[in-house]
Amino acid sequence: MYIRIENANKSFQKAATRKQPAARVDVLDQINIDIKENEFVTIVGPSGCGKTTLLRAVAGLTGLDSGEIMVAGELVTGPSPDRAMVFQTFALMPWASALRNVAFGLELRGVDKSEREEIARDLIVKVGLKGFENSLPSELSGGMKQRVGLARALAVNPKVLLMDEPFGGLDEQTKRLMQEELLRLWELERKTVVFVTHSLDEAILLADRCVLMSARPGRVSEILDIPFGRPRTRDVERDSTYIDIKQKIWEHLRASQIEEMTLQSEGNVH
Amino acid sequence: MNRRKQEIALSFGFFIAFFVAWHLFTKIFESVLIPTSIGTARAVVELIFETQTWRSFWLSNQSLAIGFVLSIAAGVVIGLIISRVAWMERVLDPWLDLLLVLPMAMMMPIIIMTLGFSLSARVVVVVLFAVPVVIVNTRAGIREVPSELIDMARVFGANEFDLWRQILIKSAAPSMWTGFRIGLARSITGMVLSELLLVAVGIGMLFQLFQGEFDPDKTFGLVALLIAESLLLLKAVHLLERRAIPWFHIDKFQNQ
Repeated sequence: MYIRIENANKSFQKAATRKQPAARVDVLDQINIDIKENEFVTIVGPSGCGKTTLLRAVAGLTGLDSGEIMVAGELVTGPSPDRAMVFQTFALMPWASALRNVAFGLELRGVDKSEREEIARDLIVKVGLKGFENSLPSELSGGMKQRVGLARALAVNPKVLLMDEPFGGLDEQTKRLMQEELLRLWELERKTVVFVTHSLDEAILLADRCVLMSARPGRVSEILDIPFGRPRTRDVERDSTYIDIKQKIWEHLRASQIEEMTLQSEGNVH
Repeated sequence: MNRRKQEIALSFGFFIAFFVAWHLFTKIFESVLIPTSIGTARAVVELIFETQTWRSFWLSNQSLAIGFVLSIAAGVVIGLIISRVAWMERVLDPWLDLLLVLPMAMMMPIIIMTLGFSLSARVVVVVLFAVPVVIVNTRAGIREVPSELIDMARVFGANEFDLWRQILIKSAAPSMWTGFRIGLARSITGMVLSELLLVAVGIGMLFQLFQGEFDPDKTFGLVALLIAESLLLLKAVHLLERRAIPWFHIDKFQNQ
């Protein structure tokens, strides 16, 4: 297995509120997921199910209480350039041009300027931002910002691409366009991708397999195979199998989501 | 007329109105001790052509320049350290508060007794005025660095040094520059106060001299010159800021 998540556990201390005493919340409870090389895996679940925490653990940004994560045969102990990440909030440096943002990972690795800028220019063209090399993030739209974020992740030529709700902050049309772009880009190299989302369509459209999680404690409730071939287009959305899968995921998430809403509203009553 | 021209006309109108109001005020409360607008304007011109004025400004600006530069250097270093080392912040925080509320005028006797009537005494006053705001703004800037930028840098392999050089300091720069601008304003206050209450030299001495001669026009002319210098210095810092962090000002250009 290329990525092996084994018995991963993590809990957070939750501060006391007027209603509830301080408590430990199990964010990740005995998570086991195996991901093959070149596989595109999406993780869906209600908010608070620990999907982002899980992704951060794979990135090496968050430690586990117990259990382990292996990537390409190596134990994850901290961040590594082998595992690049795309962030929901883009995380671009506002003082740096698109070009410099894309080249940032290479700059940190000590790749010299002309070489890293050549790689960055190439990727900027690939993600469709030709002509915006010298623009600052504040001059780019949300979709363009995330193209920069994607190019930055690809620039370090990572073994694994970790994507944390990357299109969650975009409007619907831009989101759909970016999903199609990602499908196209993924075909070029077929990198191993772990993609966290709360969009059902996104989870099915992009994935080879889809991990369903439930909240409190955060558990894997099911892993679904998405049987559509590659290269893939949005046409699969009209397939009856697609509609069945979407229905199945929703039934799974529905109960979890309602429970979560009830818990949250109880927590908010004063 | 476009909007920009209207604004300029309005600013100019305010300026004229201010002088007219001032003129009427002196006509109503006629007194030898109240400076007139015309008299002050005349005094300003006179003062500009006197070497004594320039010597005074040169002398005063020494403590201002040294004190301001020291405040920036020390303020940034201390600000960075306390935002990085938690126990240092806990230890130094009460002292920072104390420095901010310190009744500076009442501290003058202590400074005279320890440092005498010297340049270093005046520099100390300037630093005491300016350094707290530089520290506080530097710390605020580091605290407000978006956590996702820190995560991003870590993911892409930044070590602690990279993180500081590439992310934290650059992200905190706008807040630090705010600290420099307020620090400059407070440095000027410190400079004036040190010369009025501590060591009678430079602009402070000249001010007391004109007051002693019951020359309100020259007294006020001197104040006008000091205000002019202060505004020029603030403008200069602002221009430096625009060159140092142009990305921070780009939105403002676009919105006009």
